[in-house]
Amino acid sequence: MSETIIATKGLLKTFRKTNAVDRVDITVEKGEIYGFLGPNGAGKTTTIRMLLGLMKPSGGSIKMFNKDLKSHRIEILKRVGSLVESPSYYEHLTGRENLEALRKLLQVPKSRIDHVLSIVRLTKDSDRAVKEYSLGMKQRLGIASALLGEPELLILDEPTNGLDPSGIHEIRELIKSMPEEYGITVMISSHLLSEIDQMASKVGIISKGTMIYEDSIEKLRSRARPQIRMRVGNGSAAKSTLLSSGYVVEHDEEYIYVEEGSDEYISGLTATLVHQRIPVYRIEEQRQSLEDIFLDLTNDGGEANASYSAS
Amino acid sequence: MVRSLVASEFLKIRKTKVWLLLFISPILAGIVGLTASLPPEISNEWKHFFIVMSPAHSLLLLPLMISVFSGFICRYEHQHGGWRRLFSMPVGRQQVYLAKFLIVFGLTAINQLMFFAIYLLVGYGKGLEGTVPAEFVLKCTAGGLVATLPLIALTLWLAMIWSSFAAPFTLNVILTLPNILVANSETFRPVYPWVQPFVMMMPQGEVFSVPMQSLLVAIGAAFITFYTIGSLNIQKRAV
Repeated sequence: MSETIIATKGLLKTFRKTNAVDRVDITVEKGEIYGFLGPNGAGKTTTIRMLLGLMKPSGGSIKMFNKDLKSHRIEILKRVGSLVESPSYYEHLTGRENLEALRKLLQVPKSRIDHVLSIVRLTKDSDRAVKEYSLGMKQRLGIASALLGEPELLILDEPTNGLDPSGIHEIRELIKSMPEEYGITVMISSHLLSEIDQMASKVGIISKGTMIYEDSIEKLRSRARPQIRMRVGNGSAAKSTLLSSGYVVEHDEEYIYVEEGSDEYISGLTATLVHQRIPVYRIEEQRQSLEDIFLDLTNDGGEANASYSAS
Repeated sequence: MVRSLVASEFLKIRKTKVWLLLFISPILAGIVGLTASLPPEISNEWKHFFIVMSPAHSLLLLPLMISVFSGFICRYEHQHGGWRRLFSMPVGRQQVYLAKFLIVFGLTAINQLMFFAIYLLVGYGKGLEGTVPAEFVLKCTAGGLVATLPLIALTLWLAMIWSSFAAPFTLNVILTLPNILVANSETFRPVYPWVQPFVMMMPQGEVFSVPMQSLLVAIGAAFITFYTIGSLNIQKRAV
């Protein structure tokens, strides 16, 4: 039986009468990498701040490790490593001193510092002042700080924000290894689905403060509907011809869009056009990418056609 | 837990330039002491010399230094998400406030010691007659330190909630400037936190002095009020 690490019920945060986080239920199971997705300003950081006890919810409940956060805050935080709106660091100290300042609070052995430095590959630069670090190094130091207390749960808020592609890759590989190598459950937020796609086992999508999807990433992918797009000589004529012959199509300038894609349907439809001497230049199948599904969900499905891309 | 927090704070502040600031106020008071000429034929030169030197330190610079110390201990938390990380550690927020309070108090205590040392140094340098009235001088110096408690509690709280380093400092400058006027008012002198250290460092029975008991009550009440407000506010503040 799997163990629930995070469970929020009806989590609510109200700022000046608007709900920044509106009755959000989150369930994170042990060993998962939970991708917490949403556009900027959707309420991700607010939710995470509440999970870490940095901010009090206006309503609802938060349970972590089956304990109520309100009454067991310190006990719970001992088991959580976090990175909120990264990177946080003391720039006048070296990387090692940054970790030492936190180690004193976490009361873990000094050897943990060398251990986490080697995990994020900062050992060589550990005695340099953090103000000389690159953004990627600061970010890795942030992850090292999050790992310092041997957490069972990592909560990372946009850990790849502002990194270059190789930095993103590196952090992603690091996070991917957490459940297997260290038995750590991870909750990671991002505004880009593509970033989480390759590591998350489960995703929660939040938009305008409301959770609009929470399930496995495979289920999300199966939502992708293929679509047939045809470029024809006269779009509006083609559409009326097809509609009168009983085919369900949409048209946009010289393009005809068909949702139903069986072979018979498409061949019959094409034959109808050819019989009516309407030229057919292209017939192509388009598949929604995961990113498109995400955009559709977060835009209330608006501009659906515009978000299709050729496959 | 408070011990680890203090150790952690010490590690963080150790590498800042706050140490250089510990000399400012005592050295300035020393210069005032050096240039001042004592009236001839007074009974106790050392005591008189203390009364000449201490206002330079306690009336203006000491309250300002407290806001600078408070600013220093909060500055690195305001930059680069320090508060969020600190408060997501398994530590109590009131303990964080207490730890930072103890550090500012410690810095103020060192500042007082430096003042005491420079007083002796300049006094001997000038070749003052007689013996140092040790009990009197220590009482005034230690009393001055006790009198900074309300101001430390208040200024630290403001430095924690205001992300600007300059804001608490500016407020302290504005409220320290009227000190000379306030010191002359018998009603406000005992209760005004910015002037309390000065009053406490003045000898009993002289001008500006306030009966010790009522002064201690005023300082104690102000300290408890500011400390409680600060601690409770930090506890429930969203970061």
